[in-house]
Amino acid sequence: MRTSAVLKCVVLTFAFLFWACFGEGTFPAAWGDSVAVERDVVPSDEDVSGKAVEKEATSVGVVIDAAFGKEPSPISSNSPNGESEDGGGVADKAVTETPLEGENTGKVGMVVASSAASEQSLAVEGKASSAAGDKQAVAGVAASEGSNNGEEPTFGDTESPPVKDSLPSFNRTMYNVNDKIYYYGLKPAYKGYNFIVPEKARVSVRNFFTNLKMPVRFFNCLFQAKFATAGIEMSRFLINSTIGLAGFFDPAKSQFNMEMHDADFGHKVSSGTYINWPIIGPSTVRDTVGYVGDLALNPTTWVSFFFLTPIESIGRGAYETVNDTSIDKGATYESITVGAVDPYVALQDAYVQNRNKKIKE
Amino acid sequence: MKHRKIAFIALLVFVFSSYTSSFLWAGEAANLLMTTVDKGLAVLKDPALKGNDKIQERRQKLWEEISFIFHFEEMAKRSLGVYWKDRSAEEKKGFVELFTEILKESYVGKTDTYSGEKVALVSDKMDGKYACVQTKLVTNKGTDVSVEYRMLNNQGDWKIYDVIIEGVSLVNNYRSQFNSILTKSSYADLVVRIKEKSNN
Repeated sequence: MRTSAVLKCVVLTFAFLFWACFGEGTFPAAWGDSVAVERDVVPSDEDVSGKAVEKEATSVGVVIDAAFGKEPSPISSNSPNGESEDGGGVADKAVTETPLEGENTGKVGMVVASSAASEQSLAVEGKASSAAGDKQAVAGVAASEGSNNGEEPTFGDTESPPVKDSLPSFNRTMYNVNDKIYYYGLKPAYKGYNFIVPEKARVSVRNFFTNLKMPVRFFNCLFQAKFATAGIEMSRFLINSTIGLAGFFDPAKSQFNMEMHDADFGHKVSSGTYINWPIIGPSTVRDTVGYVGDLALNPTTWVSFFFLTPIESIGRGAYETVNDTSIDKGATYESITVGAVDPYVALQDAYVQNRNKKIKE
Repeated sequence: MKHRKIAFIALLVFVFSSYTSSFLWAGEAANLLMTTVDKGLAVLKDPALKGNDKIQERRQKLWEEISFIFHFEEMAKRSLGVYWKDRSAEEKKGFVELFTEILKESYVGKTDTYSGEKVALVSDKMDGKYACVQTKLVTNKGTDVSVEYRMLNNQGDWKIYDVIIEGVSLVNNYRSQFNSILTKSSYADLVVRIKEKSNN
């Protein structure tokens, strides 16, 4: 009985490793980009100085005001790490160039349209370029992902390609179900829990689970050839498991300025359609596969598998969910959906934009 | 001991900030933004305005302090995207007002749960009339929230035209919603739905 379970796990792990190395997001393909990515991943000087501001316990404003006492210098000279695809130039170009440039993507067209309209003084030119810009913008939206692959984060506009949603009715239904679960189940549960358990303790519980899930991040960093980041994750684990008392505290961040890198499985593959799962919530085909892969790397899954009854595992999962929700997930969910005109679309869009950011990191 | 630690940190700040010139010589957009953020935080920290019974008063005060920095017309325009140019001048004006209202509700409403978070400037970039100011919200829960402000030089004044929280652009988020409504129904319908929302 037990041996077959172990066998299952081993097979699952191998299948997962195989997919990781030879699946769609192939290892060598990841290699090339990751060198550039890594530079951003290592905490930059800016991060550290930002941290120091916080730790100094003085008002941030004072420090910043002091810093601002100096004369502002042209910033374009100090773009960090020589990022070539800074985007600022693109936006600028869009404003200055004539609208006849056929190669401009819809995105750039949008910039022309909006910035031209705000410049009343250049009425004639403005009108011409806004018309052309809009035409291109329409084309851009219609052609969807084709024209902008998100390679250049422009200053001028931050438009992302439309989200692919092949299951709108299922997703909307699930959105409503999850919304009810949140307001009638999760929220009362965490409100009660908040009342009993102080925030510091809740953050510690989250730290504990986060630390426990180190293998998920560590191996995903390795699979994406982000070796420096994998090293940081390993160091964080060693520090937090010892000095951080089994992970209940996070001295790696507070004392050593080592940020966590939330690498997961959904990178380097096209995302597929959007799926809103019951209970789990927003996801895509890619991220669902990733979720299952990450489950296999997650020690808590293994603990549940070998040592807990199904009810106990569900209890553990529910506890972790309530705990996470009580800290900030609940507030995030509400801040996205409450102010929205169409909460379903707002959540979908926020999920996809946030995923894209994480993948770029 | 404590003094030594502070001196050490101050030294670190100095060393790192001389590396990253953006911190010492932040541009005027970042300067304006951080001053405004400080004004906003001062309102949130004001003991006279604390508590649930003062919510409306606090929101109003905060709005008076920070609203000037937003370029509402630009945000409304961008959030409507390609549908903007089909609107009449009157519709545009009405839409900007509506958009300002929902933005006020959602942005100011988010500050109700303020609990001593700090805002730190991370970096800023300027290019022509565009600026991008990267800040982070340092929470007391062990996590940082990245907040990026996109700003536009509007006849000499730097104004925000987009706020990007953890990669989620506010304007983009509204545009997705408006687009999804407008592809299925009319502009009038959208206005009705926005009004319904802001009346709730």
